[in-house]
Amino acid sequence: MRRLRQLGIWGAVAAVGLLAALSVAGAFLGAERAERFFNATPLVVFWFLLGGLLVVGFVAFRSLLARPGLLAMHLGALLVLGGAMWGSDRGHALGGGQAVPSAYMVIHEGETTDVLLDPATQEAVGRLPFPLRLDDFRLEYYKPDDPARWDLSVGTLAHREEALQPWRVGSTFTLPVTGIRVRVLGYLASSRPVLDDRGNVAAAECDPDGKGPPAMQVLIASHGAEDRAWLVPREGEGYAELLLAGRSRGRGALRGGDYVMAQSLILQQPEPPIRDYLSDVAVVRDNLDVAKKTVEVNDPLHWGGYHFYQVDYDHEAARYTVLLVQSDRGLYVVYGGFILLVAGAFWHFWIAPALRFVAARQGGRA
Amino acid sequence: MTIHWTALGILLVLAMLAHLAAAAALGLRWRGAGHAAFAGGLALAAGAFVVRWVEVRHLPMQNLFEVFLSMGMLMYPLSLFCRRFLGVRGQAADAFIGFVVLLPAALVFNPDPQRLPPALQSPLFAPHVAAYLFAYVIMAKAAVHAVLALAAGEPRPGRWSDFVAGLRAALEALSDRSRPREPRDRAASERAAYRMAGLGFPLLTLGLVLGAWWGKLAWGDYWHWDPKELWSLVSWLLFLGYFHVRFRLGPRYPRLAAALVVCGFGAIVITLLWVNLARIFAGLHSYA
Repeated sequence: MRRLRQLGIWGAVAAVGLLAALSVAGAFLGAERAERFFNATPLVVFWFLLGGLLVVGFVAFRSLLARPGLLAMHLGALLVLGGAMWGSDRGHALGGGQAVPSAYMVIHEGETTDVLLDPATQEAVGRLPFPLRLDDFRLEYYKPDDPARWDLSVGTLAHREEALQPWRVGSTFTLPVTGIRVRVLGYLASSRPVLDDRGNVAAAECDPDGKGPPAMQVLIASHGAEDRAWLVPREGEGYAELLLAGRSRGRGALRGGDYVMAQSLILQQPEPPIRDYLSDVAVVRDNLDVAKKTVEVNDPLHWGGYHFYQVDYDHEAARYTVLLVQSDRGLYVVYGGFILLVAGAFWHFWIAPALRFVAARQGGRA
Repeated sequence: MTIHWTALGILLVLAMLAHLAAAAALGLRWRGAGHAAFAGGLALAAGAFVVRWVEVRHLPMQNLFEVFLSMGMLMYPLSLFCRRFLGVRGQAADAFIGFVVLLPAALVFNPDPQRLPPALQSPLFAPHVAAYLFAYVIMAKAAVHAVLALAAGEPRPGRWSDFVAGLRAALEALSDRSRPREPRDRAASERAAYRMAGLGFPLLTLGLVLGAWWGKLAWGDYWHWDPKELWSLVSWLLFLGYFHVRFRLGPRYPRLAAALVVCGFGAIVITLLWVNLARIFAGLHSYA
C-alpha cells in the first residue's frame, strides 16, 4: 500500500506538471490546433492515465474519504474528466446514436429547418430530431454618446483603407506618407450647403431648423501652400468625402504620380456599437410550436439534448441567423464536477480552517 | 507613461503615490503614518473605481486598465485580514504590491471607456472577474513571501550574492521582518506563502469554473482551448502541483515549495498581461 501511495502522489505530481507543460505548448498553438492536439490519440491515453491516477488516489489514500474537502475536489476532477471525455467527438462516436456533437444552422426569417451544417464546408452533416423556425432576427444598438458628432477618417485610395482620426475644433494632425497637415477650423452640428454659381457646394452654414447634417471646415497645408475646404454631406447621405489630391497649389503641389497615394478626408455618421443580436426561434413538432425563445448571446435555447447559440447573422440585411448547435452529452456530469471542485476547495482551504480557528478560540476562552 | 489630467487620472496617481508612501513608512516602522497612507490609498483607489463605474455605466472590470484599477483597492483590506486572521505579516510589501498594481493603471494603460460587447453582458461577468482579481492579489502576496523564503539564509561571497543580499534586505524591510535567520525564518516565510496560497486557491478555482460556465453560455462550450484559458489552467495546475508536493513533503523542503509558488505566480502574470498584450496569443479573450 505504501508503494501504491508513493506511485499515486508522485504520479499525480508528474501528471499535473505534464499537463501544465502541454497547456503552455497548447497556448502557443492557437485554439483550433490546441483542440486537435489535446484530442489526439496520445493525449487520450494521457486523459485515461490521469483518471486512473485519481482512482488510485481514492484506493491508496483512505484519508481522502475522511476529509470532505479533498474528497469533493478529487471526485469533482474525476467527474469533469469523465464528462468531458463522454461529451467529446470521440465520446459521441463511441456512444453511438445520431447525436452530432457540434454543428451550425443557417435559418432565414420565416424558414423552418432541421439541417445541421459543417462550419468549414457548409455541407449538411446531419439533421436535428426536430425542426426550428426563425420568426425574426434583429440587432440592438447602443445609443451614440453624441449623435451630432460625426467621425472623421483618413482614407487611402490605393489601399481602400480608412483610419479613424481623433479630432476637435482647433486640432491639427499630419497625414502619414504624404505629410499633408490638416487643421479643423470649425464644425457645425447641423448645417445646410452654400452653393456657388455653378451649383457646387462651396461652403456650409448653420441650419436654423437644426435638421441638417453636420459639416466641418478644414485647413489643408502641404509644401507651404494652404487651402480651406468644407466637408458637407449631400442630402440623404451619411457621409462627406474630400479628396486631397490636387488641392494643394504652388510649388509643392501634389503631382499626378502622387495620386496612387492620394488620400481623402471622410466625415461620416458613426456606426453605433452593437449591444445585442437576437433571434426569435420556435421549436416545431407536428406543425405545432412546442417551444419559443429569443436566443441571444449569453442566453441560448436548450431543447431536446441540444443548446442553440447565437453566433452570426446576415451582415447585409439581417434576414437570417446563424446558430451554433451543441450536443449536451456529458455536460451535467461536468457541471457536477465543477460544483464539487469549488465546494471542496472552499471547504478544505477556507471553511475547515475557519471552523478550527473558531473552535480553538472558544477552547482558549473556556 | 502619461498622466491623464482627468479626475480619474489624478485620483489614480494619488492612490499610487499613497501606496508608495505607505510602503516606505511601514518599511521604516512608522506605523501610524504608514497605516494612514495605506488607508488613504484605499480611499483614493475606491474613489477612482466609483468615478470609472459612473463613467462607463458598468462594473469597471472590462479591460486591463479597469482590472488593475480594481485590484489596486484590494490590498489594504487584504493586508488587514491576513494580519488579523492568518497571522501573515508584510504590510509594507502589501502596500508596495498596491503601488505596483496601480502604476500601470495610472500611467500606462489606455483609459478610454469602452462599451460592453454582447458576450460580456452576463451576470457571470462580475463574479468571474472579481474571483480572479482577489485570487491574483492574494497570490501576489504569497509570491512575496515565497521569494523571501528563497532569499533567506547566508549568501556565499560574490557579486551575485551581493545582489541577493540587497534584494533580501529590501524584502525584509518591506515585510516588517527582522533579518532572517536560518532555518526558522525561511520556514516562517514558506508557511506564510502556504497560507496565502491556500487562501487564494479556492478563488482561482472559482474563477476558472465560473469562466467555464460562462463560456458554455456565451460561446457554446465550457472549454475552448483558448490561450487565456490554457494559461489560467497552467497557473491553477502549478498551485495544484504545489499543494500535492507540500502534502507529500510537508515543510521540509521550503525552497522547492517556495519556488513552485513563484512559478505559479509567474503563470498568473503571463495569464493576466502577456496573453492580452502579445499578439501571438490572439483568441476569444482579446477584447480584455
